[in-house]
Amino acid sequence: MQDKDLITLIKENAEKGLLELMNRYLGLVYSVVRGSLAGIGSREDIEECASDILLELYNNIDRIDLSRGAVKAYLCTIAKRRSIDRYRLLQRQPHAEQAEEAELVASGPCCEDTLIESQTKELLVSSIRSLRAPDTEIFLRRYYLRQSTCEIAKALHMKGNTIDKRISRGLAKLKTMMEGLL
Amino acid sequence: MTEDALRMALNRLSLQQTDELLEGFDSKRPISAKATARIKGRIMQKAGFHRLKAVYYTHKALVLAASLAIVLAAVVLLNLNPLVAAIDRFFNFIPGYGIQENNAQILYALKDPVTAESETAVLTVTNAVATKDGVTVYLTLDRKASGAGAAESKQEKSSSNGQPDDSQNIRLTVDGRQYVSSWRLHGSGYNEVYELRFDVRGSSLTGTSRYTLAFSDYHIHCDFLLVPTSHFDFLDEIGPTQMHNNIWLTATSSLQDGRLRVELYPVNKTGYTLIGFKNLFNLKPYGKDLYLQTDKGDKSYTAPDLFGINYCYDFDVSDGAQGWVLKTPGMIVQSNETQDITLPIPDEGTQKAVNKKIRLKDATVTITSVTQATDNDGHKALKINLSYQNAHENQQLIGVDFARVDSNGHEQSCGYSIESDASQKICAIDFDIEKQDGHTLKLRLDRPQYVFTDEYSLALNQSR
Repeated sequence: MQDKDLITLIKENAEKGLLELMNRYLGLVYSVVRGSLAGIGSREDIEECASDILLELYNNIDRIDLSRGAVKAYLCTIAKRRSIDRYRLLQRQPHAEQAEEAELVASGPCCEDTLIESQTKELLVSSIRSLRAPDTEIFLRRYYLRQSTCEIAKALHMKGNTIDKRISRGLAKLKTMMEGLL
Repeated sequence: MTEDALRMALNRLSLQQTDELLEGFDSKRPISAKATARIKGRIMQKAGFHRLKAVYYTHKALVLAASLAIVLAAVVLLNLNPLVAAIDRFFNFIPGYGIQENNAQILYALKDPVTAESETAVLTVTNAVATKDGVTVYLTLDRKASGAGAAESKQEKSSSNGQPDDSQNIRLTVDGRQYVSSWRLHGSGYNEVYELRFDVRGSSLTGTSRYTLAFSDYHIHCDFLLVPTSHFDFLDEIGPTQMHNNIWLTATSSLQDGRLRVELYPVNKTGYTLIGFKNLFNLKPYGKDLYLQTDKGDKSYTAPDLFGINYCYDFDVSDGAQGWVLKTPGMIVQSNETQDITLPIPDEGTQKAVNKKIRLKDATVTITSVTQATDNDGHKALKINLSYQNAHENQQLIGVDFARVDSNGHEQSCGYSIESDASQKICAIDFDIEKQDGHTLKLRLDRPQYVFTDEYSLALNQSR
């Protein structure tokens, strides 16, 4: 089923369409949220956030424009932003654990775009895409989904130290390609 | 560039940038069955749909996947001659559970799902089976809001690792004798999903035994009946069946509210491990997927499942479509064959013809040549070019795994990348070369995978 068929299904049969949306993308959304909230969010926080993201897309199905991006791109974009909102919320709670990346994420995901210009991000994306297979997927898993070496190794049927080695080499390549922009 | 800067930049991608980054990335990500059930239940409730439905699907799929895994494992363990071309045994068919051969242990199965209700919960026994030594019960428990608080704390104390630390609260009574569960699988959320096993060795189960399951925490109990399993001489008595290459596929179907649900049951006598028969791995690039042929055109499926092997499919036939024929594009199987090989490492930038043939039971892998290449960063790799020769036209080898081995035959860590041709067959492998490799590389070839290309065509019963 293509994305356009999924959208049509949601519009024509909301319940069936929502189930199909979950069947297809729940795992992906969950992975993004879990990676973003690791160390600070409870299981309940992660599941609540994931469910809100899928509902947000479901409730805004009329606004999806597939010429701008696939459904998974919409979901991941929403997931990143909602996860960071949730991260900030949790940080303000008294017993929330301080995670290593607290300062990094709290510095703002979307509102200081002057710091990292759009062109820089475009170059970063194209640079990651230009890495030799399977390095693109390794980078996507490590730095977008924030999976551990062990998780990546298991998913790609590779050894852990091979993953680390490829990341190290890939970072060096990216550094060259980005010419000091990051 | 720091890793933190990289993460932060990726956190802030626009929609279009995200789309470009994720292009071609498989969006299916593993998620536990329990988390799936909880989140689905939460979403369905927030969206205003009946909340049991999502959990029901998941549980049914879990039961189906588990039972099919048991059936597949049992078939593999039988280790029968793959040339056996006919099945003339008795079969036990337990709807929603699986097909077992006459040496299977299951004697009784649930007659009908039953539901009981108390002030605090609704308990539904969805399936149950019994051997002479044990009873396994599958159920959902829907907590009511008024009792949710107390129940929640008790449920959260319990573990889901199979250790029944609240087992005293859950009891099965069989013909007046009480049992506590010896093993338990449990998913929690708006609904609780349980698989409970009770050791009833020493008792004498009969077709007239009476069963009562009680949850004392919820002051609820449920009576149910198990009846002798249905025996069949032939698989096509269960449902439409077709066999290719010693893999039988049987379908059952049911129609409700314009939705045709099809459940498939394979029986595998190939000696290979059955991997799947829809668009797993390499079939989709051939442009093939499972579908329903009808008099109103072909229909694609929705699968009421997120994880594991998925043999249950729903088709929308609310347009009155008839003449249902389920089509599956073929079967993917995996062999446990393994062979060690040693390859020369040629001088940098040169190619060396090898033409080494590795003979498997039903195909031959030929390593045509090797090349030592260096990437822009100076890292060296051995490119291994492959070709396949299939013994049978309808059984195509589509790939093999490689691992580096040391002189003692122990597998070592290794890095490699794969090149596939237009049909998604693996045509070359780039293996990272380490300093200690010298002039040779010792590899282990294992887990060859084949696709049987014969289509299954199952005419479904319209009256079901």
